[in-house]
Amino acid sequence: MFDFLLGVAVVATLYGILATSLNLQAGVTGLLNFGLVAFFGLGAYATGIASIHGWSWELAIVAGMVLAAVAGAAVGLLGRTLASDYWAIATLALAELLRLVTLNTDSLTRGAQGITTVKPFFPDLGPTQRDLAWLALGLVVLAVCVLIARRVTEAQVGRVLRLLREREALAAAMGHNVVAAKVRVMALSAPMAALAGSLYTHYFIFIGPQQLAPFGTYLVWTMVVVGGLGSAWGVIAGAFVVELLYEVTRFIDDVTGISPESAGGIRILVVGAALLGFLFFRPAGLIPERLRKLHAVR
Amino acid sequence: MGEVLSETLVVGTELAPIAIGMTLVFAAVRFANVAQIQFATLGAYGTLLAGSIVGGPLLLQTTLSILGVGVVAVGLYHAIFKRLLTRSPSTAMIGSLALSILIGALIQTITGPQPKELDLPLERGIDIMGALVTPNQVRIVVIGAVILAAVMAILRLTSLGRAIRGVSANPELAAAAGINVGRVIDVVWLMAGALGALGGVFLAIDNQVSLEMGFQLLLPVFAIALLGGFGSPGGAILASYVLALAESLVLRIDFGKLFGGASALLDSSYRPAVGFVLLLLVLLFRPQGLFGREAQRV
Amino acid sequence: MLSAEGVSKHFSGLAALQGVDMEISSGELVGLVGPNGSGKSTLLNALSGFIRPDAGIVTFHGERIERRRPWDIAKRGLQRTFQLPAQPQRMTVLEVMLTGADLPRGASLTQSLLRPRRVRAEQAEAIERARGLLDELTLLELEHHAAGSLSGGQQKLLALGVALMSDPDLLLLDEPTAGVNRSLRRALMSRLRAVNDAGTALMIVEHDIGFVSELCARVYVLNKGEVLTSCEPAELAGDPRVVEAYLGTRKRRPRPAATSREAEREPRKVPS
Repeated sequence: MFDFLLGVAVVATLYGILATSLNLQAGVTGLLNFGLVAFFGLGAYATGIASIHGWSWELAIVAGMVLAAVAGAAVGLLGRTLASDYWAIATLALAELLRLVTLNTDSLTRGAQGITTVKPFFPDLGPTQRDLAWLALGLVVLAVCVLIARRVTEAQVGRVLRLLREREALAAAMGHNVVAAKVRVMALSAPMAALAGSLYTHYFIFIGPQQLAPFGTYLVWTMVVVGGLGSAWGVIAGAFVVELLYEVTRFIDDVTGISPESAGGIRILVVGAALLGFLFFRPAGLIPERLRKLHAVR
Repeated sequence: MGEVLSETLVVGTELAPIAIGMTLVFAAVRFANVAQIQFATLGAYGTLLAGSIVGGPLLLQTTLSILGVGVVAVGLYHAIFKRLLTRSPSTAMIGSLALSILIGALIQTITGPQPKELDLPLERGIDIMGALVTPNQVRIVVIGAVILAAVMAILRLTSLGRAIRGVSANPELAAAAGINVGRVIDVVWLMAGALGALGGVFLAIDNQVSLEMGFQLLLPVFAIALLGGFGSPGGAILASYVLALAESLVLRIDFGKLFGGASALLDSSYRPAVGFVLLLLVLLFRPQGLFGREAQRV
Repeated sequence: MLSAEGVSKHFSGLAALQGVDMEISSGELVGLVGPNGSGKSTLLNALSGFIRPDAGIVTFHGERIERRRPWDIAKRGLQRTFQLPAQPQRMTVLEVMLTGADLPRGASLTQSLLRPRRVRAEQAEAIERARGLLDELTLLELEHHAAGSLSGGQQKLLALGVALMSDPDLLLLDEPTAGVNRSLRRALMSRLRAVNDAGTALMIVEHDIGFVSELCARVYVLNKGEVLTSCEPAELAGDPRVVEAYLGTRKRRPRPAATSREAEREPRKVPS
């Protein structure tokens, strides 16, 4: 039981990083990114592909983050041409496109069977100790990401983003380059998702196209909505709560005797019910974003 | 040549109803309903359901399924989207993404993840202009063309069609002019559900019934809606065939020979991507699509 | 300081603006009036970069701006307000004021990440300025309220305040009195006079001729996308073209009684 919860906690910290990334985009800036899983995938596959060729895993992580930053900036730039609804669809479609590419370029990505050559971290530790080490690593990385997110959100950069999420025209009229702002927030937050992807791959020692399906985005959106869109701590809470919920439902087929394949569907239903439920009844989330009352502090 | 033509006609006719449904809903209630693609999946699975409950000829099964999905669509609007739309179109979009995944999960829970086939009699192919076409494909194109023409006739020539256009242009004005906006919106959702289901039925007849049907349609249907201009049914029809043609052609291009090497064709699973890449190119040069109105923001 | 020459704009065949010429000098207080549909909003949008004119030139401080993005123009000293300010719900009044400030450290990603203390120091100065402005606008006690929760009139005052944060050379106001009650109008009028006295040129786009007549030294009249005339407010009622423009398109908005001394002295010429 403890081991199970420990494993859940590790994965939850990785999702927390993803949630922080999405929160910067959707919560702070109002960008409907339905393709978050693509940035995750860039990091994950950078790590995976590097492991096939025996390249440095550190460089792979960096490469994944750089790739994601560039991709994020490009997608943000797309916001110049596309209004928010269409931009959302475009991100969903681009993520699907990436999944198709990973599925079909066998020579590069090993196609549908995925990559299993990834080097595990902490190879000399026993399973429980390894998970504890991972938890520590995950929490540290998460803390850094949250710190970055908070500093950006509280400063003028974040203020402009928060204005543009509600009143883009007002922000433009106030002298702020709204396109550049969107590009910057994407370029800042996408690498976080990529880092989460790389870490995920090192943890599970596997990456495959299935991980790039829209379900990943959907899960993180649920975490962000349940936790509190726009609230840095809220989305972390959401990540832990939803991840726990999702993992606990793993035992449904044991408890109820439904076939495992059908049980898979139920797990998704439970998560979806949480998302819709919160959208309906508590859209501000578990820990709602608070109004920032400023005081002149020297 | 004959193959390209027949593929274009068949695929275009399969996609067009789904795209029209999406575009009608967007015009009437102003949000991009991601769940539209799942109306197709529901149409296909609904036919199986009708077959097992009611039996009878295929025509009966499909009609029941199509009508059923139409009613479900209206129900979903009232139960979920109407409420979410009062918050914002973005909230409704997130909800529609959640719903899409939920529908897939629900079907998976009930029927399991294996793809299924409709119970169709085996028939000999027909040779038309050098292409081998099944009689069902001919039926799809003919019936589809008739229905599409009927839909366009309804939209252009009847008072209902005028009412729909009025509501799409300006709901307050339409209400002031005595149009029952609520009922018009219900009709639009009924049509969107039924048309989506029709597309799904066509796809089920031509291929198979699977859980992935919906998300495989994601890229093409949105590409069509964006190409044809969100809100323009005529544009959606035309764009469907343009897209089908593009898919047919691109998948036949031998990229290997083009670059002077060994034969290298795009894998057919890239099919959904063709439309999307085409779309990106169009968007770069003509953001409002082929027929759309000024759908971009400042 | 600002000049428009031959500015034209069409929307699907309809001419919203046709060859508009306009000049605003430093420190002037100018009005822009015209009946509904005359193109006032379109012109304002064209001057501030929210709409790109099909033809014509707009120059500000000697630079052509008609093709520039709105934020470029705003940074150059030309600010505008919106008819419906619709202030954000998830930000406080004080935060909204800060968005109008020029905070180079806070606006830089690297600085905000690596030098949070310096960022806060820079911000503290802006906060004091903002609070000063809020005080003048009688909004100080609402500084920590959600900006979107203010009344319509208060939101308009806030919009004015934000625009003033950057000390603009020219401020374009889009229907500042729409939906504003009488006492607030008086306050607004004196505030705008004070702003103008302090050196900011103002162009007030208005439906309410009375407000503009009392405030502005010069008034442009727009009708069907063209400039009918540019004259002193006193001459307005006497100009038959102006009267016809307003009568031809029946104004339906009920006018508050005694909107201005001007109206009381010289009742509008309505044909018997």
